Amino acid sequence: MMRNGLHTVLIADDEAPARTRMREMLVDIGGWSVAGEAANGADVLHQCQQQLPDVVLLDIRMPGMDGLETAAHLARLPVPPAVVFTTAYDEYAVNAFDAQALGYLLKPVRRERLLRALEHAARISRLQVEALGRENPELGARQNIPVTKFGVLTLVPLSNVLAFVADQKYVRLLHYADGALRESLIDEPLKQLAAEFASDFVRIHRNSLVRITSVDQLTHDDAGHYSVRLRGFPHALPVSRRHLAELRLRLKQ
Amino acid sequence: MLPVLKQQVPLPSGAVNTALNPRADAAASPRHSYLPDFTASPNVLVLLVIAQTFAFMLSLMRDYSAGGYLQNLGQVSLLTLWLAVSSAWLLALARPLFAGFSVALSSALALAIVLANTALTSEVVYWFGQTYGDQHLTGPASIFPAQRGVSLLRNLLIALVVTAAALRYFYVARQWQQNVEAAAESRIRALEARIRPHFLFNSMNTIAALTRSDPKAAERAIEDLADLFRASLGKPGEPVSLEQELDVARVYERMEQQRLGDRLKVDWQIDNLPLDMRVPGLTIQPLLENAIYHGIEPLDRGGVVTVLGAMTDGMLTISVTNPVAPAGQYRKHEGHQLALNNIRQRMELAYGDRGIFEIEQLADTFRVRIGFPLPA
Repeated sequence: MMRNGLHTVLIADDEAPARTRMREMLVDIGGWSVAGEAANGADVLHQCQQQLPDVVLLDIRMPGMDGLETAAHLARLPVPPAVVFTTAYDEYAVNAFDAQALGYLLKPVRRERLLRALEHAARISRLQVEALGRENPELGARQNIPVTKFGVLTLVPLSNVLAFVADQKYVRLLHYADGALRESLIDEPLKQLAAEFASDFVRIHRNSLVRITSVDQLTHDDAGHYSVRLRGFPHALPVSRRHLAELRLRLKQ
Repeated sequence: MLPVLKQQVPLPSGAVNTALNPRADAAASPRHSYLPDFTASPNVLVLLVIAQTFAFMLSLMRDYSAGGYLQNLGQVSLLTLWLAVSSAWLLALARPLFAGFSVALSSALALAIVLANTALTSEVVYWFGQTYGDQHLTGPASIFPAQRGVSLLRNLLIALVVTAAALRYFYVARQWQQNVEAAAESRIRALEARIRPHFLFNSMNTIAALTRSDPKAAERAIEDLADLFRASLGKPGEPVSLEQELDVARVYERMEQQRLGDRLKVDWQIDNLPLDMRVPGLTIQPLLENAIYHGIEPLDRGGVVTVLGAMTDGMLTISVTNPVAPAGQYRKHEGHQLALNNIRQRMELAYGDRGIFEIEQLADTFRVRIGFPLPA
């Protein structure tokens, strides 16, 4: 979003000196306004939702959620920013970008290169970032689910998620946090979640998706209605006839 | 407390592996005898040339006042070449048996094979001389003996001396080759242990930032970087004092501190160590580098790396412990094993099975311990 007639940039890097340098160079170049600085992926997501920057200068190696996964999250925002990756040395990632013709900057970044990358940033569209994720699933796949509660964004590691249950307008996320079972609401269509996490989760009903390794038992009552019990979850979840065959197959594997 | 899904980090098989098993790799392929493979074509040619030279020598040592030099040379050459080629062929056949034998045992076996071959050949020659011998064959310069025993004994003694000398030569040549190979390997491993590129570029970026905001810190960082690369690019494989190696590690820590700020803390517990002891260069610093790169950097709030030095049982041990991010929180970066394997290999090259290299991986910590035996 323009601010005082200037394009805005969010600087994302876990190292303070690296952020300082990027900020100073943007001041030197002129014509760009720094919307904010972020030190990790969750912070980047949060600030992008608040500040709506035009461009994010995104470091690839960050703690928690790395730059590649952060980009995959950014691409799902209603108003996604353009992304320019930065890296000091990361052979694998750089190779992946070469193949995708996605923009990246090598640190220490030269002023001219930064300028050129910012000018071209708009061309690195959401589609290209998504393509990066499609063709290199290990690079772009989400390992975390962003959850916003009371305006605070937290990341739930995918490995802590037990099930997704659609509930009218939202999807209820059943997950562990600090060793306890929690429930959070997320605003993502179940259909997309099912496709994205198909390797670990299985559809058991029109409205629910469960982690295959968490299924404790599959039972049915006298009327022939099937349901599953998940390890650590007190309630049974109904299984529809339509999804029964696939569930059985996945449980066998 | 409910079990956290998938968070029970499965310990890799052999989580605590004491890995300085010296010939673990070599045991897979059979240990080669020090004897060369006589069937390889350059070896055959060399063998023929040496045998013929020896035949010249033998026949020159006789008294030819009665003539017959060429006759003798022909017969001696025939006998020598036959013995050389047939013995080499027998040794080549027996070579697979030698794998795994001690040097003394395989030497004795080789000697026995050559002597038996010589004895058999001498008998055949004697029998041939007796059966078909005429004036022409058995003149004064002939190799066909009149007395069986003396001739046999003479041939056996010559074979004994020549074979023993040859075996000694093969043994020394093999030793020399092994020494050259071991020295080359330790130099290559030391080259691989050099400070990694990601560190260089990250440091350069930090220095670029500090140049404006804190020129004095930038100056010190450049001096530190120069020291690190002097140590890293110096003579690869040369041992250094423990003090030097710890200094390199501390300078490295200072560089990373600039970059990571409060996220990095290193707890040095290294009192009362023999600082003048010689250790292979770049063994402790890479452990710290590994702990920071794979342990501290993936953690949002950072953590503490503990470097613990101790003297126990005639052994200097250094252990480096770092916290590990919970599974699922971050993407695994490979390359972890590469750096550690390099240190393990160099410890083996330097100390054989007297050194220690241990990796201990728990759910939330990762520890590497290396042990340098004190010089006897």
